[in-house]
Amino acid sequence: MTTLPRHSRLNRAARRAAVAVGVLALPLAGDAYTLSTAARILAIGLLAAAVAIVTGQTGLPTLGQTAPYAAGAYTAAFLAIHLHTMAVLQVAAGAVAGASLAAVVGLLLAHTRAATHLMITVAVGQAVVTAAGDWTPLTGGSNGLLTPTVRPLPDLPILDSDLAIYLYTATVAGLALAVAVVVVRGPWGMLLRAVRDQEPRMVASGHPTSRYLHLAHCAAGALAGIGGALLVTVQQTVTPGDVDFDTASLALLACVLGGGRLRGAVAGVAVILIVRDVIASPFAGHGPLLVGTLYLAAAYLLHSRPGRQLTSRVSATIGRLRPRPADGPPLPARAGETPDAPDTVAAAPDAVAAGGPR
Amino acid sequence: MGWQVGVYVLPAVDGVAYGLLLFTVAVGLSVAYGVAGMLNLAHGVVFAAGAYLAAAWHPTTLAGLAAATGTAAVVGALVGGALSVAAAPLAGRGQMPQVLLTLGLALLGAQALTAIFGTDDLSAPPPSVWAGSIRLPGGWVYPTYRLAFIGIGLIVAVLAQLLVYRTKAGALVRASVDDRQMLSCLGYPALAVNAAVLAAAGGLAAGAGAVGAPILGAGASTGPLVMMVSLVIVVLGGLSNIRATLAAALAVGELQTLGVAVLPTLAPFLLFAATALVLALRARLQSRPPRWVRP
Repeated sequence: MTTLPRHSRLNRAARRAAVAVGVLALPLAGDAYTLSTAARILAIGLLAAAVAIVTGQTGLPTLGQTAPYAAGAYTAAFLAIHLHTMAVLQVAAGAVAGASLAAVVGLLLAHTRAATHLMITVAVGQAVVTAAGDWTPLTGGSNGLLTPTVRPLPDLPILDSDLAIYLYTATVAGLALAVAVVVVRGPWGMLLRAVRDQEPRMVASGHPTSRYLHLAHCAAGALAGIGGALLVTVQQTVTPGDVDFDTASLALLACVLGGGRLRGAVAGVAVILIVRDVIASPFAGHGPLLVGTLYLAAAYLLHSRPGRQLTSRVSATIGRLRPRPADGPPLPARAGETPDAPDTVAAAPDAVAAGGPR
Repeated sequence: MGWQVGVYVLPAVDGVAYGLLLFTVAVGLSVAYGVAGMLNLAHGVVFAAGAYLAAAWHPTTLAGLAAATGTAAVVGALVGGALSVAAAPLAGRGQMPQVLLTLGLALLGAQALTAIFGTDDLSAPPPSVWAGSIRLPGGWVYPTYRLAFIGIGLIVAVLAQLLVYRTKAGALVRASVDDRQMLSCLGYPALAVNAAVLAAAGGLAAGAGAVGAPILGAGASTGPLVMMVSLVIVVLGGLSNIRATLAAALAVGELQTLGVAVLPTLAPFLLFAATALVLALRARLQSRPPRWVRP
């Protein structure tokens, strides 16, 4: 794909940007509830994209990405309450906080693989939720923190309406996601996918694989931290309930639904939240029931024959809608699957989880 | 110095009780993972189901507590057996489908529990015989029920030990961890072994929930908390070595009670720090060359 002529690469980038802007502009047609739901989808979507970096691209199943997400959210809230109400500062601080926490935790996590990684990430996530509930002077305990309204930059208007909040969230999330997608698509992401698929071979050729995984954790932590900062802007509050185990498992489900890709994970969050908050709204209180069913459906369809047929049919349909069929990151395909089938990436954690490649 | 140490004696005894409770939960998780390859993230909900059952039953006599525990164990065993049936089609597809299945079941189970028992946290009083406190040698006063609980936990730990290392069923379990194909060749179908192990694990967890209800109570956060701590114990204790699991459970129990008493602010991260320390030490020991290679 990188061998395409320069003008056609630019063309494709422009088309992708246009599609992204179009998708982000869709909720503008809806009411205030649609706008706030869409903004929340984008904030949690960045968390799911971070899970996609760690689980989908790097092959380490994680339920602990809520830890840097929480660090970002609480840092942003603290900043807005005590220091400054400039939203861009919040985003930067959230990214730094998320990356720092991930860097510390990653010292251990980068040396574990597969199920052990999953189990320890559960402990990490739970530790942060407990801390958020216990350190009341800093975090407000189980009541959480209420944050003031903010303005993106000193000269811009204050974010006091759902429309303004959505426009701001869409801009920041779109930029963060674009940067992440470009990085993951490039040589760095290639290294991560290589570790995921053939770690012994990478080690044999002299790659410090654990250091790559540590860096992947830091990058994913920064992305999750930005997501947390955006969540604070969207909700103007943060509680331990926003960063608990349910959120972590929701992000993992979104990552699997999205085929382990970053944009796919955001789409996965959109599907889950729409099922939970929009489709389930006539049946009050039964949202979790539908989401639970979604988990079971994903469990039985993932890696199954009907599931593969479904995903290849969906991607074929999308391919037909697009002018160019081969539009996706250059992913290693498993035998018998087309490179376009989203299943390929989600297959990876299990290759590692099953004890690593031979 | 004497009284300063004295302050920490009761949390330390609490830690033994908590550790034994966690052992009962974690041993099922560990054996299910070792034998059936099943990382059961719904295990905490089974524990919570037992706790809710005992709290709603409200037994005041020993016989009532025994009946509640027995019922909880049967329910837990049924859930475990059903889980093995539900997971059977996912065999050979790697870990992720199982993780999603158990996460989904945990969500649905928690939903069912709040639908049946309400959203409030329930508390269960201990049976009236064990309701008071007892004076320990040394002048400390300690709740009778917790002391009795330590006794029950020790009995369970010894029985589990005997079951795994001294009976044929235990031999099958250990053989299944080592070489499942060979076990199938000998006429023990993997599916049946899995179902038995998951049923036993579920029964143990729900039973522990019922007996532990007077200490821990029953609430929405019970399941995830016990689940997380048990996962750490499985990581620390390794697979299918009951003694290591017991040691890890007791250490984690102490960390969660004594550690909280000594270092309240850092308590949330103590568990993680200890895990990191143990794993780092273990990696160091394993990467060190054998003695005869060293100079």
